[in-house]
Amino acid sequence: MKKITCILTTAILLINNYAFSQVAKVYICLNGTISFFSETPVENIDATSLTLNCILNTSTNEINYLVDIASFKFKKPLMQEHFNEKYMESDKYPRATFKGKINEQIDWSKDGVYPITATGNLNIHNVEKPYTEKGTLTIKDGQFTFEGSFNVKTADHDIEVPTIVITNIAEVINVKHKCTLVPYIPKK
Amino acid sequence: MKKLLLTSVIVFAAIINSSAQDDLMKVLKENQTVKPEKVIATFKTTKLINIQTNETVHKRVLDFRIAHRFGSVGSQYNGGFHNFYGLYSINDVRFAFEYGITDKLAIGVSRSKVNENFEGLIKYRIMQQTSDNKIPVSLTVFGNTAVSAVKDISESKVYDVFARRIAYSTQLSIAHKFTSSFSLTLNPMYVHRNYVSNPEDFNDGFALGAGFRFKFTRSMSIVGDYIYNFNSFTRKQTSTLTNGNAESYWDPIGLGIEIETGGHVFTIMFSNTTYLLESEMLSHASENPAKGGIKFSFNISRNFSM
Repeated sequence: MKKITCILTTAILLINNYAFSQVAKVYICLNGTISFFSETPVENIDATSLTLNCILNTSTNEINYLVDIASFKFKKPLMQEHFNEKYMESDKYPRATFKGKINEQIDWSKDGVYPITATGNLNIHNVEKPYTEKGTLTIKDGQFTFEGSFNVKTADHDIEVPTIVITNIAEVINVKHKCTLVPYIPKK
Repeated sequence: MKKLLLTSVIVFAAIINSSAQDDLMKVLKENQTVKPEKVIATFKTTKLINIQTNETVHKRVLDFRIAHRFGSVGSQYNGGFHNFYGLYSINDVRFAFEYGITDKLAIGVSRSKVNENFEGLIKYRIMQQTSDNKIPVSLTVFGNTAVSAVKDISESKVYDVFARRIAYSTQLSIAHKFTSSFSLTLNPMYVHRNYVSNPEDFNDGFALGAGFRFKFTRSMSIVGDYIYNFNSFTRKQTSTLTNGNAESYWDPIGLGIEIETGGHVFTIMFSNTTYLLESEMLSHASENPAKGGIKFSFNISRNFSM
């Protein structure tokens, strides 16, 4: 009896270990693109960051995103200043993150273009909200490219827009993102 | 028993597995490329109260500035109830346009009331503090030339020589943003006046200014600055009280509140100096604040994107 348990434990731990180190592959992207767009009759505002970070575990379908708020670049420096200082408070809340899972079963070894959905929590301005969003996955030569767009309501994340500029900033901001993931090699 | 053990082992294994997956974000954070960003908004506008900040007008932006300095608050300095605490007299008014040629270089023109000074100014960012503090300070140089357009009423007609109407000033802002709400600047200043009426006076004067900004809400800050004047002749200057007595020299000091709305910066402040232009301010004594020699003052800065 004890023997059986012992063997079982070892076996499961081994499988687990094996699963994580061999089969489970981690893929990473550190230079993805993320941009957002706010459209109002008064003015259009857009900003882009070229340092969107993404990590994926193909064995669990888990996908995480991370971007530094201060890395968003605007056409007008004054807007960038207001964005960081007044609306996003990037000194207090320096990052936006998404922790989620891809809902579809995917054969990661097969090249192709797949429509996918991901569900998880998006954290902006230190306020976490559940999101389920559509996207596209392109598998080619062992690299995975995720692409998509979704809408964020500023009010959902307690981003206060002063009444004086309320006509200049849209209530719903469209976010576009794209990143290409490559196998992750841990730093020794 | 067997089942229980088996279950516990599986649960145990699952826990190990799931904790490993929670580390995904950790792995991402560890690998993330953190690009040092330029520190922005050390100050909100190009001028604090009496000294320049490290900020310049952004590229293709026109900053229209209106500054007003009223009379002294206290009755010992002609203020008090009958002069509505200085608001009925205007000491100095300055209208200025500053334009950003690039994000580093700005030029401007102004006209101010005292001595009818026309001013041409230039401001250049030499370097900008970075978020990783590899560049620990922001450095900006400011220079202006002031030409006085006053009517020459002197008998000796000193202003017949045009060059005598001209004064120059230079200032370096060495600024550091400590936290998102606290910034300091240290400003070595230099003034050159082509003409000084008193032969004992100096054409060249040096001063050292220091200023701070403390942001206490998302759009409001307390600002303040002080200038120590090294010019020994200027330090012997006095200000005149209502009763005609001379009050000994004071350095310029100022304290105010800065309110920022999108595109506008309003500064409401008190200062003991009468003058808005550097070359005037640094060649006259400021008034004694303890005797009511402080003046209400405001500045409106409006940014237009061109």
